[in-house]
Amino acid sequence: MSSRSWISLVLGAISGLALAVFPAFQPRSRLPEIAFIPRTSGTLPTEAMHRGANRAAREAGFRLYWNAPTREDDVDRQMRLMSKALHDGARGLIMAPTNGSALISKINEFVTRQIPVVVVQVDTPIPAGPFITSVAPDQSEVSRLAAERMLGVLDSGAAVAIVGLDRAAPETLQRARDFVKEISRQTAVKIVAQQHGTSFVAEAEQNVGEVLDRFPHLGALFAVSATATEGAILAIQRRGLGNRIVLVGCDDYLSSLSDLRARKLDSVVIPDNEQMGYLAAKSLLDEIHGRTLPRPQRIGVRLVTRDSLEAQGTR
Amino acid sequence: MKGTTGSTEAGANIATQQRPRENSQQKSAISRIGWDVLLFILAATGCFFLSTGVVHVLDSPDRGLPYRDHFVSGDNAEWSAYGGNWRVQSGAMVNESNERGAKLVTGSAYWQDYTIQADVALRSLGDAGLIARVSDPEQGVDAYSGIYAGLRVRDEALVLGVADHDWQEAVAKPLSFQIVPNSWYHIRVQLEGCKVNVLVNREGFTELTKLDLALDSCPVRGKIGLRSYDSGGMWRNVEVTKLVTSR
Repeated sequence: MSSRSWISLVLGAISGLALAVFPAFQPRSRLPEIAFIPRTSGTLPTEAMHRGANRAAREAGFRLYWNAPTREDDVDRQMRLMSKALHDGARGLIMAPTNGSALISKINEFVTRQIPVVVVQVDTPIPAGPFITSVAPDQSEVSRLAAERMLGVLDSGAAVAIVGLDRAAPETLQRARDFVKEISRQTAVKIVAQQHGTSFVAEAEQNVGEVLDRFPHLGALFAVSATATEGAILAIQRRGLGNRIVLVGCDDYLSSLSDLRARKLDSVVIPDNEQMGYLAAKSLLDEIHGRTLPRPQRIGVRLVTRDSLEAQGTR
Repeated sequence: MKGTTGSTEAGANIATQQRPRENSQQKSAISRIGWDVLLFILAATGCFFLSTGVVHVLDSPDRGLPYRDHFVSGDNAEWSAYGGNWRVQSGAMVNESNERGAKLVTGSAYWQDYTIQADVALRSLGDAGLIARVSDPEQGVDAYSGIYAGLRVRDEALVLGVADHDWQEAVAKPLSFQIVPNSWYHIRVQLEGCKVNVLVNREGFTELTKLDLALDSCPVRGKIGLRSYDSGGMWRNVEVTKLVTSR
């Protein structure tokens, strides 16, 4: 066979192969993407935020990439997910920082590339600007509602402790600070302890347990995070103090509503997480479509008690 | 002149002699081109069908079925971990971590209608079970597309749901027995289209909990895996068999 025949043979083989495998290499048409990286996922508040953000993304013809660390304090993993979003060409980022100060450089990487960022749950760790803003619950309102509830149900002279203060979650510090302010206006109750917090329920239980053991005449606990609330319930139940201690919690967790019905806690202050996710995605997508990012926005919160739960038929 | 005439005649003779040669050269060139085109077409056709055949075999929903892993050797290279801390121990795959949503995935991305079954034991208070029709897995709580069926300690239930980088719980059926940590439970998940049939029973007991459900929408094909949430777990005797359907 001549060399020309060999060339024909080889060219033919290549053409046949190309025709056969061509469909596999056709680029998939993909919608433009925005990324949402919360502190963790698979919890009631994050699933609600996911629903809201997904709705806004669908309305705008965008795809939402959603993933998060499996633990609320896993800063490294959140950084890796942010890098992935950047690498994959996300047009914008919504995030709830696991640790605001540890993530400043990473957030700046987005901002300097003019990729808009919306921080949720807490205020932005760097000043808000043309490419960064925040959508967070009204933390002062959280504290006000909790304080009002406690003052309404506690006897005069009752001792109150605040549990769950976590430096990595600045909203817990703000809630505690505002709660102290609200309570200090009344002389009827006294804050006797402010205990640090964690993102692990078992550790939170231990922390609350220490407070309960140290202050046997404690009248109430204000738990400033979902983890602290869960930990407080476990610690109270384990000591059989369910009928004596008024527990006001924050944020909804998996069994918060059934715990309310079972009288394991007095009440819980819950932000409108679905609205927070929706507003965050909407603001981000508006910026992508040429509008200006709005100034930091506040989301409403509500106090849920067993009575209000039954009255409103909530879930 | 004579010479000229003679040379003209000779030239004419040569020309008449050359014409058939040129004709035959042209014919042979054409036949060579035809041969080359034929070779090209034959090679292209042959290669196309061969490659299509290979692609068909590789993408076949039957490839690699039945699949069994009894974890007799320490080699678990065919499994891919997404979170968790996995190792083979005494004929079982063990996840020592309580990481939420830890997954271990294997199999073919083209498996469609199949039955997956395994013995599962929980190590603490979360949940653990099997995932099927898995695609696009990543480390993360619900970071995969697929169907999950497992045992959940919190409400002592058999849980079934669909994950698509989120979690849509289809049903949580209370178990007819208690979930005891480190005890073996046999879980069988049968998938036919979006019809899911789950069966679970505790080793050594006759009580069964069954689920029959037609999901509104579901992933249609994908790998299999082991998954735990907020609990370590142990899995053994993993088996996947093709579902013979009447369709």
